[in-house]
This record gives sequence, C-alpha cells and structure tokens, in this order.
Amino acid sequence: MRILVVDDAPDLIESVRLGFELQWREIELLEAATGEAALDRVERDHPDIVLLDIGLPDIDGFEVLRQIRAFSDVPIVMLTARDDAMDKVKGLELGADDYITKPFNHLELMARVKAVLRRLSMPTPTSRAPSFQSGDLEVDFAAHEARLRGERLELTPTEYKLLYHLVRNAGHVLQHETLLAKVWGREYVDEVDYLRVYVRRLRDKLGDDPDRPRYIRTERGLGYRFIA
Amino acid sequence: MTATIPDATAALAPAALGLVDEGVTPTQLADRFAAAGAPLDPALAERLLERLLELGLVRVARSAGSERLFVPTSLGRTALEHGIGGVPAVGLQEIERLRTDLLSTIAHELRTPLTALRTSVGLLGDPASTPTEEQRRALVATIERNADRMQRLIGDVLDLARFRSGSIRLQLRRFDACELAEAATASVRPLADAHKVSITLAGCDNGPSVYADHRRLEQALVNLLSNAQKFSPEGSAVAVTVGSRDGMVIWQVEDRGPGIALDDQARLFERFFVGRGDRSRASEGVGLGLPTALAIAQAHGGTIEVASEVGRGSTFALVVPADGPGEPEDQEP
Repeated sequence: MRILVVDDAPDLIESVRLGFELQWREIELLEAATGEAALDRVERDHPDIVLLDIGLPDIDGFEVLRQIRAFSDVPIVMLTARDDAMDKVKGLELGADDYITKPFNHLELMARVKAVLRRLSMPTPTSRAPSFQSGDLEVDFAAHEARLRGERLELTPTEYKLLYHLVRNAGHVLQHETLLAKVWGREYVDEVDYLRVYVRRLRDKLGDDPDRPRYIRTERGLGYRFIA
Repeated sequence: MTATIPDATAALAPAALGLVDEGVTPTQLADRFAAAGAPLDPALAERLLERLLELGLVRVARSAGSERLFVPTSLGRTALEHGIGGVPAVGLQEIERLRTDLLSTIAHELRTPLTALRTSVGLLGDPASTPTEEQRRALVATIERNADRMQRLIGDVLDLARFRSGSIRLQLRRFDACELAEAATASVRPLADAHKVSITLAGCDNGPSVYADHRRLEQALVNLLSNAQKFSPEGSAVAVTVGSRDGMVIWQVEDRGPGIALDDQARLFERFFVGRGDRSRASEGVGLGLPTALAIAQAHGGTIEVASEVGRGSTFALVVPADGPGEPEDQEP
C-alpha cells in the first residue's frame, strides 16, 4: 500500500508516517511538501491513496486536486485546517473522495482512509431485475450503467451507486442517513453535504431540474425520492 | 416601545480613524473634526479614540502632557489602506471582517501543530501501537517541538495584541547598540549554521549607545535575523551593520536571498503574511515576526525600513531614536 502525504509541515508528515507504520505496517509512505512535488509523485509513483493538504505553499490544494483529477482516479482525502463547509463542498465537487479537518488524531485518520479504500473496492451493487426504466432513463443493472435517451451516461462508481439505490426504491423516500450509509458507509451518516454534492452531480447528468424534477425529488429535511 | 439610540461612536469611528493620521490626542482629534466642518466635543473625541483602541485600530503611544497620544496600529493602517477611514457603515463591517479573518488565521495556524501533537500523543497512548525506543523518542521530540511552536505562536499573538493596546511598558535603559547586535546574532547563529549561512557584524568599532528596552529590541532584531538566514541561500552571508543617523540608531540586516517583489513588500508587515521565496524553509515561520518587530520599533518611536530587489536580496533596518521614545519619564525605569 502506497500512501502519498502532501503537506508542508514536516512534523505532521512524520507523525502520520509513524501512525501508519505502527498500525498498518505494510505501507510505503511517500511525501511531498509542495503542490508541484505532489503532481510529480502521483504521475511517477502511482500511490494507492493521496492525503492532500489545502494550504500548500506554491499551488492551492484545490488546484492540485483539479490537476490530479485530469489524469488520475486515485482516491484523494483532503486535509484542511479550515473548518468550513464551503471548503468541504468545493473539494467534493472537484472530485475529492473524502475530507478530514485538522486537528485529527491517528485513529480518525486511519478510519477515514480505511473507509475510503473500502468504499472504492466494494463491488458495484447488482440486482436480480435486469434493468429499470423510467421515461428516457434506463438503468442496466447487469452492465452497471445508465442510459438517457439511449446514450450511455458517464457516471463515477459513487454516482452509479447513488442512482442504483434511488431507483431500486423508486416511489419511496430514502432518508439522508440511509442513503449515506448505503453509498458511503455507516461512518458517514452525518455527512449530508456529501449527499447534496452527489445528488447535484447526478441531476446535472440527468438534466433534471430540482425545482421541477422529473427523476429526483428533494424531500426537505428528510431525504430524496426517485419519482416512480 | 423603546427606541434604540444609535451609538454615535460606532457611526463616527471610521471617520475618526481617517483623522488620526500619524498620531493624535483627543483635543487634536476634536480640532481636526472642527477643521473638517464637524465640530466635536473633546470628551466625545476621547470616547471615539477609546472605541478605536477597543477595535485594535490605534494604540496609546505615550502621554503628551495631560493627554494620551493615540497612533494607528498595523491593523489600523491596513484598515486605512482598505479605504475604511471616513466611510462609517461599511467601514465598521470591514474592520469586523479583518478581525474575524485574523482570528480564523490564528486558529488555522494552531491546527497543524495541534494535529502533529494529537497524532503523536495518540500513538504513544494507544495499546494497539508498540513503538520502538527510537520511534518513542521521535514521537516525544515531535510533541515537544509542536508544543513549543504553539506556545511561541500564542506568545507572539499576545505580544502583538499588547503592543496594539499600548499595555506593554518598555523597560528602558541605556546600553551599547553593538552589544545588542552581538546578543541577537548569537541566538540566531545555531539556526544559521544549520542552514550553512554565516552572519557577519560590522560598524562596531565605535558603536552608538541607545536608550531603549533591551529585551524587546533584541526580540525585534532576532526576528529580522531569523528571516534573513531563513531566506538566504546555502553558503551566503547575512551582514549586520550597526550605525547612527540624525539621532536614530540603525541595525541593518542584509541578506542575499531571493528578494521580495514590490506587491509582496506592501504586505510584509501584515500578520501571517509569509513571502514566496524559498518556501521549503519558510514553512518554519508563521508570519508574525515582522509585524512584531515593527510593533516593537513603533513602540520606541521608530520604524523598520525595507529595501529589496528580486534576485538580489533584501535589507531590513531597525531604526529607533537613540535617546528613547520621546518621554522616558512616562515609562517604567
């Protein structure tokens, strides 16, 4: 397991390194103190996961994230010293897989990293029903893909998983916590921002207007419902 | 129903800040309002200055006769640069924003060392982790370094706040300006040695004497020297020169670092501004060194002068009056 830690505080990298070495043992920790170095390392060393600080000395961490996403799907956990919901949403929208706020301790960090790796390695859910059809949308459960007016939609694994659970429960409200637990894992039941970002992305891809939805209706304060 | 009486000081504070200029007593402020066509009771002028003091926009420099002299703080100057003076409603909101920004920056700066600390403490206390003796020592060293770093940061922030509010009393005495340079140089030398940077001292054949707060001036000069060695390339020298000019004593610190772009020069004295030179080593600092040094120089009635050219290096000069901050009898012996 190769973990790349990008932060300009050497002591933080060192304590994270010791944390992983003592708890996981089988890891190789790569480090980068700047955004440039991080981009080089991702390209050259192909880490299995990246822990990326937002406040880097040369390039903003969000910009590094955007640039990594242009060529790599490596899981990325943003590290930030700002306790700001806007930052979290911005990171997720740019393609971060998770987000952890400083100060964290080694157990919180390990739990986050494990959860991200587990989520990304989980098999895509399948169903005995071959497919689901509603209006112009068809979800092909066997092929793990969705088509709108016959055109295949480019969905990330997380987006597909979210759509899958919504359509499998079409006509019923799925509460925030239920969706978060099914798609992200039980540790994430309070992360409603994650859900909002991904529902927005799905709606964009489906061409769905949240004010006059054809597919995904917001049930204010409760959750979401796929319109049957 | 009770009507709320608007607080006159809240509405007038930004206008007052615009009239403080380089320094003002309550009577002078009342005169300046009158000259601007808005006569003001001196008691209200004093309340206005108290309000600016609360906001951290001015500090008390000294007592002039029976009255206190208020001068703008670095935050006050920043507020003026943002065009706050004279625009009442928007002004106070903007000042509040600057203060909130400062608080979040302090919290932000504390979070990184706190993370290293929490992670290290957690590993030492976690029965599931069994560090070797060497790893234990490394964890303890990380804890010590980061606790020190947090303590320094908090100390620096408090110092700056005290300078701003005028609550730091200078401990004035007469001493040799070269002796101060030697003391400051000695405390920075180990760091400079580690970075393979040498420090030279000149101008001490017939060095001037100065009536000032030794500990505070040493702190200011150490801050300038720390920056200079930090931004110096390996193998280069930082030159310290002691001299005097027009009743002022000058400690000049010259480095061969990357220099500072003009845009950055304007922001150098803002709290938490860290320049964009060699950032791999710049990460040691959190950007309070220069504002603190400037606050110390200003408390002495002096200043810090900067000359810099990108690619050639920078010179910072700590300049203070040789005979003290004006009215030494107001300061504690």
